[in-house]
Amino acid sequence: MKIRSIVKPILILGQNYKLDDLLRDNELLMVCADDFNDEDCDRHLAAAETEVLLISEEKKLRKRIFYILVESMQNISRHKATVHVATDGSKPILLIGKHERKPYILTANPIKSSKIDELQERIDLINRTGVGELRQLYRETLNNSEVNEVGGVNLGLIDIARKAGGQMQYGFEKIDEEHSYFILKINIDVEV
Amino acid sequence: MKTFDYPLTEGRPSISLNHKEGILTISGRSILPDSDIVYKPIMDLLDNYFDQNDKIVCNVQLEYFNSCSARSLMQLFQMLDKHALKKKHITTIWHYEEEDDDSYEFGLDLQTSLRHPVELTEIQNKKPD
Repeated sequence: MKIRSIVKPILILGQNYKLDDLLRDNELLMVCADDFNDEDCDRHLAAAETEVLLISEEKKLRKRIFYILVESMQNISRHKATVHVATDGSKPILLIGKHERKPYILTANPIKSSKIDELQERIDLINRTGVGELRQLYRETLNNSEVNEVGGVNLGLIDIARKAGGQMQYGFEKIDEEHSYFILKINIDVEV
Repeated sequence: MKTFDYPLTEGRPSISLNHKEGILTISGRSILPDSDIVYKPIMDLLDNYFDQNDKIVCNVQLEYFNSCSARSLMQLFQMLDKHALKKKHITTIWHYEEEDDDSYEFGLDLQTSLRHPVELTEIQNKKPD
């Protein structure tokens, strides 16, 4: 995945250029670019539920996507770092899109670069774990989970992987000496 | 004793404790980023409840619960387990929607990891006319 090719156009979308046309052309169904505080998340979830999630007639799939949206937004909210840069390029972003008729959710948010190794390790572990074994990993983490320094539990990413049924792609892009963009693309397997 | 009745609001489940019947009901959606705000007070209240009561049926029917709520729910059930060890009669009824495999599996995990009885009840999806 070319991170720039996806994120940069979305940053432009955030500046309100013919949003509807671009969304349609790119099979982007929803783009959110803001601070993802509690009120923002409620608003985005309500919008997703009443409009975007109707792409699927299957309640089970809609439910899975909704779960992933909730966890993704809360991950952004918990882990985002505030970066003061001249452009608005540091705003966290979430988008729902479709690629070859398969839905995906992509998030991009600034984080402290010191967290990169830990995140990478965690996602690689989850990607290596088979769908059946994810349940066991979820169960173990649930029974032993400790709240981390920003109030989240490791459970969130495992739950995303279980609900998505597909691999997570990720990338990092340096913003400045202390901060990087963390881009996470969650591919949703519609057959699960 | 104070009656606990949390109204259903955005992302926050409805929680009520009926002292007379001995029924705790948790329903709706539980997707708050900090679920302790909801579950910690009910855990504190239940500790007091068992000073004067010997049994409770815990009815859980959640349409959605996020990972943070899963952790809080597990803590709540583990707390109920401690009271079960003190000879309190505790039953949890876990309702899951038809085709919601994750909720069903969560219920199964409760059955295997908790000491008190956990019953699983399927909610049938309404078929269109």
